[in-house]
Order: sequence, then C-alpha cells, then structure tokens
Amino acid sequence: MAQDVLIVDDSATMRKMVRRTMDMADLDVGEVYEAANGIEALAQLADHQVAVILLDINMPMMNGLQLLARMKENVRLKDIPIVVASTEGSRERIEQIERFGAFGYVRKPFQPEQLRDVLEPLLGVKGNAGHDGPDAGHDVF
Amino acid sequence: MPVTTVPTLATTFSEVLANLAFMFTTEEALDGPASATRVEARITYDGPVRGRLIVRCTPEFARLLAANLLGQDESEEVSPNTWHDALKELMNVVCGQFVTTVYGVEPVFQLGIPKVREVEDSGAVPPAPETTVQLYVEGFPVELTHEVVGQSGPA
Repeated sequence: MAQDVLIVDDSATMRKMVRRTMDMADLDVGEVYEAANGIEALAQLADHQVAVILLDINMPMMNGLQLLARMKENVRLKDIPIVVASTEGSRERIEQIERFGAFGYVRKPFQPEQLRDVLEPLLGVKGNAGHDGPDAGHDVF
Repeated sequence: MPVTTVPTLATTFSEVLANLAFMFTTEEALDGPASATRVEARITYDGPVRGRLIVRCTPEFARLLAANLLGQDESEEVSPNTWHDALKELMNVVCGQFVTTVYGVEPVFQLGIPKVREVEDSGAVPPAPETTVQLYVEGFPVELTHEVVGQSGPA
C-alpha cells in the first residue's frame, strides 16, 4: 500500500524536485505533504500521519536539527523515520544527524537511484522496478 | 587552502549544474543580443574560514535553470519567484559542495541563507582573475566569484 510522505525544505523548487525525483525513482508514494520549515512540519504532522519525512537542515525559523530534536521528545512523533536531504558534507555534522536519530542521509544533489536506495526500505517501489545497488552520496544509519 | 579556488569553484559549479539541472558548460556564448540585466545570487559560509560565493548571470539563464529543475518545458512561463528560488537552491548546493571540496570534511561550516537581486550590468569594473571566473552554460554567460572575508580564531 502506498505510504504518505512529508517533505520539509524552505525551497519550493527543491520540494517540487524531490516530488519529481520520487516519481522518477518509482517509489510507491501516496500523499505528499510539504512544509517550509520545522514549525510548518509540526503543524502538518498534527494533521497527517506519514511513513517518512524528507528533511532539509538549513532552514529559517526552525531548522532540521531542531525539528529532529523536537520530534524525538514527542511520543507520537519519535518513531517516524527521517531521511535528511541536505548539502551538509562535514563528517561531524553527518554524525550529529545520526546521533539525533535520523534514519538516513542523502546529499544534494542526489539522483533518483540514491533516493530510491535510502527510501525503498521505508516505502517500497511500484511494480518490479530495477535496483542498481548501493551508490555514493547516501547513507542508511 | 589553495592560492586560488577559482578552478575548483568552476568545476564544482559545472558538476552541480549537470547533476541537478542537466545543464552543461559550453565553449561559446549564444548568438543574439546580450541582456543588460544581470542577476546576482550570493551565499555566505561561516566556519574556520568565512567567505562568500557570488554568481552573476542573466535572467534567461535563471529561467532555464528553474525550468530544468522543475522538469518544465522551456516554453512554459516561469515566474520571477520561481527562478529566484531556483538560483538560491543552486547556490546552497554549490556552496555545500564547494566548502567540502576546498576545506575537507573535518571542519563544520554554517551556510547562510542565499540572496538574489537584479542589477544593471555597467561593465565598468573588470573582474579580478584570482577571485572570479567567467564561463558559459548552455551558451549563457555566467560569472562566479569566491571571496574569503575572514578566518575564525581557535575555539
């Protein structure tokens, strides 16, 4: 059954790109909700249950790490898998993302195959879409 | 840090554009009159070193970038808000890749929020070659600048 997704990114362009990339990756996605920062994300999560959150880090108002920390303190939200999609490249910051409890990390710019590799365990793929195997630029923690 | 980071900036910018938007650097400009308007996009980074990246391009380049990012046909209308946002996201990704390439994965950098503005091209001040490089992307002229503005002391 198709699962719902929340995309959290301050760039409307990037949110549309992620939607398009999920389509290209043949992921079995149901409804896709969007938020431009952590505060909007919490509002969306109050109204909708999602199977996974794709989360940017560098955002105004409430950034991705702040949202991660808030979610881990909330009994209803703490188990929702979060995949961080960010430009972050420093080892310390990626370790910090892992310590904060993210399920995985994919670095921008990413290809459909990289997104599929990290999201497939959470969402599944439509039909019998092929799998190219692990690729650089993503991690499942 | 290398004496000049301009070649690294040009390579990073070209690679990100190819991966993100399927846009490629070209040898020459497109035929036709050059736009007098330029768009300037800036982003800062702050860590052991503080600096900024600046991209100057034409609105036509920015509109093509947005169309490619969104998978739109070139004939479809792209609003200024959309191409401003596309440029900001490009700067964000380029800067994230650039600081890792130049400074490595150990230091942590905080990227600023990208800013975009439209400027008139006076052409009066030639760019400094040690900080600026000009290239063509899909025939559109693009100018890239990297400026180091300071270094943080030991924590």
